[in-house]
Amino acid sequence: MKFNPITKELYKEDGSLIKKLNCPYKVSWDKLIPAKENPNAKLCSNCNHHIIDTSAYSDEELFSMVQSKPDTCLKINLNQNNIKIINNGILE
Amino acid sequence: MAFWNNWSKKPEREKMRVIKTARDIESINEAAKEGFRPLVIKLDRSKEISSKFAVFQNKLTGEIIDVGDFRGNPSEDDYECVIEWTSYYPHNFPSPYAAYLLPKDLEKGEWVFLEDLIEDMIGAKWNQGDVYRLESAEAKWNGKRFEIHYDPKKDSHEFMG
Repeated sequence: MKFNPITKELYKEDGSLIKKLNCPYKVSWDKLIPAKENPNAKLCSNCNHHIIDTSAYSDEELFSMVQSKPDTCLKINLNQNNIKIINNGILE
Repeated sequence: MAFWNNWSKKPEREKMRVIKTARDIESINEAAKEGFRPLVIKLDRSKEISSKFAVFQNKLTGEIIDVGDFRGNPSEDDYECVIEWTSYYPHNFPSPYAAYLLPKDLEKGEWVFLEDLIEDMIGAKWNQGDVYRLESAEAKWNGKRFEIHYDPKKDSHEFMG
């Protein structure tokens, strides 16, 4: 997958948009509670959503997840292995 | 409890008022007419904030691709590098100043959420050297300016949302 850290948009390798990340809370992944149902997710107490660790999923899996539930929250670590960082020129 | 302690206690994020930013003279003056007090601040680019890019050109077709990740270099058989890896400041704001739009009833000591931060602060760092701008932050109004509450060491390589 590809991620633009400036626009915060996450794409599949083929360029399809998976999601534009948008979270008003500056939450710390380490301080979130692990989700009981999914070892690759944590629960955000601010909005009671699960946050999915994208390093554990393929492009297609994430795409399907967000398509079926658009308010799914995602976590991206810039250093994870399954992601390439893209910058699409100057913004704003 | 002392009064100033009540001031200092940070409320839950959802209880904070959101302060909007206007980034050009028309929006600033429009907001003033609507009753806001614009707090005008000069933009000051941080030298630390930078992204990088390189441009590769297809040897046959002439089409180009731009790359922002060292791992994304295309095959040298098909592409040649026409712009080497270059760092740049990746924002181009409409005006060299902007303004936080203060509600008339904003109280000294009130915690707020600055939706579109004017000041350049570091939001995230990548191990390839890129440093990204913090987009928004919680802050306390001290009567003259906002004291921005943010720890740049916290989660500096993670994005959520």
